[in-house]
Amino acid sequence: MKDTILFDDGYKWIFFGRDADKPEKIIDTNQYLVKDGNRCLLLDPGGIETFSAMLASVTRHVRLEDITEIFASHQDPDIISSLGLWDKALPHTRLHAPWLWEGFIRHFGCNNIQYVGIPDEGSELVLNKTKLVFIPAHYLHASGNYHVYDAKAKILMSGDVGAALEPPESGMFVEDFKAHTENMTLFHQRWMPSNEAKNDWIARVRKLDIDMMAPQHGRIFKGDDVKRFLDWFEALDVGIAIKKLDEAKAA
Amino acid sequence: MEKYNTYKRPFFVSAATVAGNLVSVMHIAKEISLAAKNAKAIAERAGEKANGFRPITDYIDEMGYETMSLVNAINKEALEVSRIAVNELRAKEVYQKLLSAKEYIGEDVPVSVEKLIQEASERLSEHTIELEKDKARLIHLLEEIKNQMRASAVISTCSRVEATQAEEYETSLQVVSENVDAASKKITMIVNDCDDLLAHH
Ligand SMILES: [Fe+2]
Ligand SMILES: [Fe+2]
Repeated sequence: MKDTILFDDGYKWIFFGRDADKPEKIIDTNQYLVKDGNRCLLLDPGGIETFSAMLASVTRHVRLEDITEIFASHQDPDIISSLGLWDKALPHTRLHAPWLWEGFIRHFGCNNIQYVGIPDEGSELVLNKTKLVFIPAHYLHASGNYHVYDAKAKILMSGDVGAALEPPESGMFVEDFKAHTENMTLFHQRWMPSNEAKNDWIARVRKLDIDMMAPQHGRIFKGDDVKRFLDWFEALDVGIAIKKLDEAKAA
Repeated sequence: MEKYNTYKRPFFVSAATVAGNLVSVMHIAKEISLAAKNAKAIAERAGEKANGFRPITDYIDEMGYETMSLVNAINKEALEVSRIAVNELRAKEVYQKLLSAKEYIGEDVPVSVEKLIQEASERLSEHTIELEKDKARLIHLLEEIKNQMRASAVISTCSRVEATQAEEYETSLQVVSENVDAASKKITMIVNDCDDLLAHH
């Protein structure tokens, strides 16, 4: 698994992903770590199948006892099905995840880790020097869903929003936005259920100062590509599965 | 934090931690190589005065290089051990869950369930055997690096003696010897920690 430092000024944002050794049929995921001394946060730590590679990768950067927080943007298996194993590896941590999903996420195994439900309106988490905000992203795509914003690093970890399906050997950053939309269009149209939710999120995110938008799959958006993404997403009609069924009926 | 310290770490965590610790050993081994390059440059300048010292620089260089490749091998092995230990844990969970299913059933456990339990138990022992083998290999590799550090201690003693013959270059060559010595000690300490981590299982 590759790792790259995205931000380094008093504390660090570290990217983990592009795992060349992962089983072929599982979707490639991006994991992130905010390293702030003895208070570190692991974001969307991933599925049970990538657990070993992920554990090995984080030990290169932090002492395991310093990982005191885990964040899960939503309940999906590619996000947090590794929970039962982290629960054994990091029994002292807290899991920040949607309050709505608590009863479901606990099915992955959560006996030692403390579940801290994030309320609908979002909340904040302060590490040593780092102040993070859990921004609501409900229905994008899960009914209870959050992103993580860091105003100092100007990074938005955007979960499945901005995700692209590409082979694991693809680049880390978006280089050609227009070409990249081809890898994003179907994913967003099909996985994101609601235009209303989408537009509500866009309005919220437009108010933030963002240098980097870091999704859970695919490439990271930098600089103007963040704004390009928001414009592109705004114009995109999502929730297409129902419309397709209607079309099929009409035909 | 208290909770963490008193908690018995699963073996896969210890193995991954060993792999993580080796990252710093790698940095130190690189320092040794750098020290060797410095020593070579000094010996070059010192000419005849460093005649005794010069061959030692080759030793140091070689040792730094060998340490790095050994650390690479240990790192790979530790990661592999961690991965296998995770698999063993998962196999153990499957086995235990099947056993509790059997308990739920009570009397008249169907043959199919017994067969599942049997298979799970076999799979678990396969994983356990594999894990023990790899664990032994890892411990052996750690032992090897400790041997290398013992050799390094001898080399740094020799180089300190030879440095005294190098007249005005003595101080700079002494510094090199000390650096190598300190680096080996640091590596030995880290490797001992790794041993402790693995021994507690
Ligand atoms: Fe998802
Ligand atoms: Fe996802």
